[in-house]
Amino acid sequence: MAEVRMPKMGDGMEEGTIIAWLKKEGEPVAKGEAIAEIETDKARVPLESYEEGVLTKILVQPGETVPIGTVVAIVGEPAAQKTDSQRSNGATVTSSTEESKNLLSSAQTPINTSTPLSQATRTTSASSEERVRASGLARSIAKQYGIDLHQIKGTGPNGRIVERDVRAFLQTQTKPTAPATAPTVERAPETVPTTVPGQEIQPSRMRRAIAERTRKSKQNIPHFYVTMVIEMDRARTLLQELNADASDGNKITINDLIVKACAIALTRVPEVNASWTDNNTIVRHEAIHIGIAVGIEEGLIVPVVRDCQAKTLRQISAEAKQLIAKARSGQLKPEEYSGSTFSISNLGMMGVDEFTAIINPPDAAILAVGGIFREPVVVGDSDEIAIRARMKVTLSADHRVLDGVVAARFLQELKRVLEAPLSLLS
Amino acid sequence: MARMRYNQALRLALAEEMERDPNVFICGEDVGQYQGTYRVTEGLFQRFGPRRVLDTPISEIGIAGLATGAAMVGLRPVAEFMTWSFALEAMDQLVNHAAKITYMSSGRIHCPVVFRGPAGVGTQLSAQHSQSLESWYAHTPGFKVVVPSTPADAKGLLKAAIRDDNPVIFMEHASLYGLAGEVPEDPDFTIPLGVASVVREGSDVTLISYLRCLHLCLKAAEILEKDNISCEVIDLRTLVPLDMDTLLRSIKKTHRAVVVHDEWRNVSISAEIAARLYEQGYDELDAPIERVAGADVPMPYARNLERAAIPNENEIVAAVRRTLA
Repeated sequence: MAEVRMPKMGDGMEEGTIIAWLKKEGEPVAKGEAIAEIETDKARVPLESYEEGVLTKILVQPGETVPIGTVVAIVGEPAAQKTDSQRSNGATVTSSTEESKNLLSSAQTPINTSTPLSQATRTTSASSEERVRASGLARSIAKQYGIDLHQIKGTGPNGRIVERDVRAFLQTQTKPTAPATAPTVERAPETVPTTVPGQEIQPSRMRRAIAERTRKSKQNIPHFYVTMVIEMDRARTLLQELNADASDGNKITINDLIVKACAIALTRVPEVNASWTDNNTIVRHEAIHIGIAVGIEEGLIVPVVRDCQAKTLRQISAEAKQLIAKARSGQLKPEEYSGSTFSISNLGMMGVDEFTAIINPPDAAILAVGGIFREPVVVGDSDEIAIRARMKVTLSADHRVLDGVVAARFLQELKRVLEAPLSLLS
Repeated sequence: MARMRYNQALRLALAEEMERDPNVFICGEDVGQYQGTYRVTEGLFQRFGPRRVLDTPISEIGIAGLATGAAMVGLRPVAEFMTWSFALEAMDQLVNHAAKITYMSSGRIHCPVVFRGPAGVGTQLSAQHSQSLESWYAHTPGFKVVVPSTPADAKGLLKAAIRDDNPVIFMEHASLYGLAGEVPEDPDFTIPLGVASVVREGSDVTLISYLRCLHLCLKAAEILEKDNISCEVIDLRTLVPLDMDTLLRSIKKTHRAVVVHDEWRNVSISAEIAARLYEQGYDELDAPIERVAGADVPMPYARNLERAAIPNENEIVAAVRRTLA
């Protein structure tokens, strides 16, 4: 079994886009045969398989951009299927073995000697159960835009995917690049009038992906925001002691503390560790996977520390370091930046007071962390002033899943943990 | 422009071509002294005389043989079959001779003959006198097959057929002879063979038809218009050669097609058209191609059964709706 990875085709290349798959899952692949077309910043090149076998699994869909080194497909033995969590879910495979009776449906008399296609034995490859029903037009439009038909739900007769289904799907998806050839199906292009002259930049694939994700998030999720101030003096002291004899590469950071603190707070307020589903239900996740927003040159990526409920502060810290390094070098695999149940974004190091983040779906909330500032505060019942290290955090929450009270309770627990930070060492 | 009936338009075409070219002559049963069974040749015997308007014995094979032979030596006969059902008697002369002479003579002998007459269902003419059979001639290499649906097309296409150096099967329809329409009076007005006509523009579905059924398609289009379904209606005018360009251009717009004709459904022109549309326009089709055609039965005599055995506008409407499902 061989993993086909996004290759580094040039010095400056950090990510590539799959333009189209030249083979379907289940199709045999010869050694050296091109199985996909990929696009780098500089060129469009074929992606060759170094192994002979069968393309058992496609992991990255056309139009998707992934860092180099990302496994984009598996070439293996025909029957083996690698099961892994995929970023693009929602694959509605219309696996029907019944052929449609599409002959002679006119209102003519029955003397016609026609027989409907029976469930004949198909001598096709192992991919027959993955065959998608789609009209010729639907297929050609999908091909133009590099869409995998398995992602589309068909509303035509017998569940056939027809043009309107592909168009509807296009409305909800990223269009990474314009179609390679002029589309034979003419649609009037939208023209945005620009009155102020400026330099027009083509956004990178990552930028486009971020644009689409955040737009969808803001459009679909009713956000509300709750801010709380946390005094970080004791946390800072703890950090100093923990890092006293740690080497440079092993130091625990404020962010590590916050991740662990969030994990604890989420076990105490599990309603926040949930998601609103497409079926209009709420699913409460058992595990706590926390995404950490990492700013990189092209934009933003959110690697996920999995199972925080079962990890110590040290483990979380080590893992976060690894993930952040990978993020910066473009080596994150898709399974490493997907599947979060909660996310954290920290702009404290930039001197930011406070800010509101956009929820990273399907999470129900995201915590925006500001900087730690020493400020005068009133302490105790008498009007005494003392200097405290204050940090503002703002929770953006999905109002379909939680209400203000729940959000506030979560922040209370977070505050409690960070202000009595020894509990972080449990 | 003048307003005239389909059979008058044919007559005018014949008269103009006979005037223009002394080699053009007419032969057939009762075409001369009797003035023509459907009055297409009315007055021509008086005007052009017995050498140009020939009354023949009742022998279709004789008519076809005479016309084929005359064409081979340089004349331009227009041979009439009283109905195309009777032409079955002449099949060998038509298929083995008229259609193949040019090929078999390595191009040295031409056969510029037009075989014309009414085809299709009438009123209770029953099994042996109601057939269409245009697909039989379309199937045979060597023929051009022309099917005019309107008076103007009848005139323009007949003139073009007479001037064409190939043997042309010119199929009219009995129910259309009385149809009135605007017809250009210019004696040089011809319509090129092999060019279809978009008689109604639309955007949701393409209806493809000819002869009697073309008019049903226009009726169906009116019905569907009320439901905001916009039909593009194409009159094929010629079956061989088939104007695929016009059809494909329409399919690119509508992505759906319904082919309609009186001919039997099985192994018919619509099967060929559908096959070519799938071959050349697959990527543009959003639904399977529908065919509304004559039932695969010998034409019944009983009026109600006869009506049930041929297309009507409601069947066309239903077929259109199926393409939009």
